[in-house]
Amino acid sequence: MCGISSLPEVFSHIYVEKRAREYIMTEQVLSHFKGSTVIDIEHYKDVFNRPGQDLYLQNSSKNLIIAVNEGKKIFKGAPVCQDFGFDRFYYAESAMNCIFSCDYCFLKGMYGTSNIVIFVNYVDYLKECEKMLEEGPVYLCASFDTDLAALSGICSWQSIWEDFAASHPEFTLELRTKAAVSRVTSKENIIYAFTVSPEKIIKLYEKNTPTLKTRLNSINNALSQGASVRLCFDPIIYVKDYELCYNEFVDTVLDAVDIKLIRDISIGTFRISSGYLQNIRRACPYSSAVHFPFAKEDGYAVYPKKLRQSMIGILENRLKGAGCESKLYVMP
Amino acid sequence: MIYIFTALKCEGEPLRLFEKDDLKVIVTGVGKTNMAFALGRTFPEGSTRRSLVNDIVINIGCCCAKSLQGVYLINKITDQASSRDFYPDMLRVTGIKEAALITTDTLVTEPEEDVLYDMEASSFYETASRLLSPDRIITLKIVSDSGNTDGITTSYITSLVNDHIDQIGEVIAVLRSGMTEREDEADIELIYTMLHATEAMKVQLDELINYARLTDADINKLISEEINSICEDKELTKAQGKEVLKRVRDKLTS
Repeated sequence: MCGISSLPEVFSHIYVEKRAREYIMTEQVLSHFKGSTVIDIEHYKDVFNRPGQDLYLQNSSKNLIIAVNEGKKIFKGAPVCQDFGFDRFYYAESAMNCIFSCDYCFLKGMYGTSNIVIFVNYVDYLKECEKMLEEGPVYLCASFDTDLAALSGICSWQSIWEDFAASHPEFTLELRTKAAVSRVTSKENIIYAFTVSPEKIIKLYEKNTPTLKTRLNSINNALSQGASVRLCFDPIIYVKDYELCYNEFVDTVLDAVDIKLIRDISIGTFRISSGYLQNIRRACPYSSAVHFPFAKEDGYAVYPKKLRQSMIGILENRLKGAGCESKLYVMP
Repeated sequence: MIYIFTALKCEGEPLRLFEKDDLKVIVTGVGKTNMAFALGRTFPEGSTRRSLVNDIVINIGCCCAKSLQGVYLINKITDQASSRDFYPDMLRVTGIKEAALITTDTLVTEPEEDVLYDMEASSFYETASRLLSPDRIITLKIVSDSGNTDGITTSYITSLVNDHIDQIGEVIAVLRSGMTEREDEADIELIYTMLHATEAMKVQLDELINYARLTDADINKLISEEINSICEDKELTKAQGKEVLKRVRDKLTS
């Protein structure tokens, strides 16, 4: 293993595009990191896309890039994503990469770096959404290539999206997170999608994320404020004793949360494009979650069908038994 | 392996005290072309990112600055001729102060404030980055003058490097401490042979063996058990080799 004892703290270096200097959000972010070394850059890709970056080392010492997104900002949802029955299903690239370091995260496969980009030209994003709304209702995952709630302590992206959704009823906003969310906006079209995992999985594979107990407290807090809450049992990760592990986990969730108040529930096992898997394995050379000998189906690495059905079956049956059948969205 | 590249012999000589089996000092000659050639000669043809995953390169040398003084770890390199910027990954705490640097093709006589100038770093970074990750390309520069090179002699340069030898030594110590090689994969040639593994089976076996190692499963025992259950004391056929592979996979993933 590579020695990492001498690694600097997170965000020891912040790379700022010169053109991003004029944006309010840039000032806002930098104000949280007075001790960081700030380096002026021309374009975020000069840092973000450097070839051959060591993601394994970077995972323990992420740096931050502040940039203006002049390219595409809103994307059509991928086929492996649960669309919850919405036709016009999109995601926004408000930021790229995540402060958390989940071994299995597709971001490790998609990007050649662990560094995080925050785009600061939020007005351009909102304008693009306004245009899209002219053609009909929009469902937007704003926290798809990142965890915006986890970044809410340093930038205001989460509240920007919440405010936009609050004033646009045809715009359904999904904020997916593993973070401890303290403040929510109670609106039917703003969905807080909490990813929950067994404590064993969190400890093994979801580094730097809040414990299950903290996440359940966040969920209850959001529910008590009248927020629309989705539970994401996705991805289910294989461990040798997965039956026991996930059964106990469902017990814990059902004990802690009033499931009747939950808007809907998504269930899915780990799945990823085969190309991304190779990158993730390089980034996490010691993680059994990503070195599982997956089956290959249509360009995706998935658990073998029998195992997949068994893992999904545990959660599906238990949640149906708890009266949630109509709320379940299962990724087969 | 750590390779230290210096443009001048007088810069490199004091650094030879760090030379051991894991560190070599290479004198390249002045300028970007000499630096690029020296890097090319150092890494043999056929080298890949993977084959050099444990190597680190350091460019140590003198530079010019208006008012900055001392030794600097470079966090941004601009090639003046092409206007291209390069960003080493600052992933190690060294205690050395940081600065940006501009690489020029000719000597700079009127440096700007808060920036360093040299004649090799951009070529060093650009060439090395074809094979090494950006955290393994380190540039350390010592300010020798402010644009006027009158009186800058080889003995002055050597004494300047010697003046900062402790700080350079600390950086090398940090780099050495992080150089424990990543674990080698197990020798599995014997298993390949026993199972008559095709290239496709070898890929699958590598994956299974790695997964078994990460989950503390005894892969040798699992394979032996399956071989024995299929054909005790006899050599496996190709088809039986495939069957063993399938059974081991099932056991590991159910």
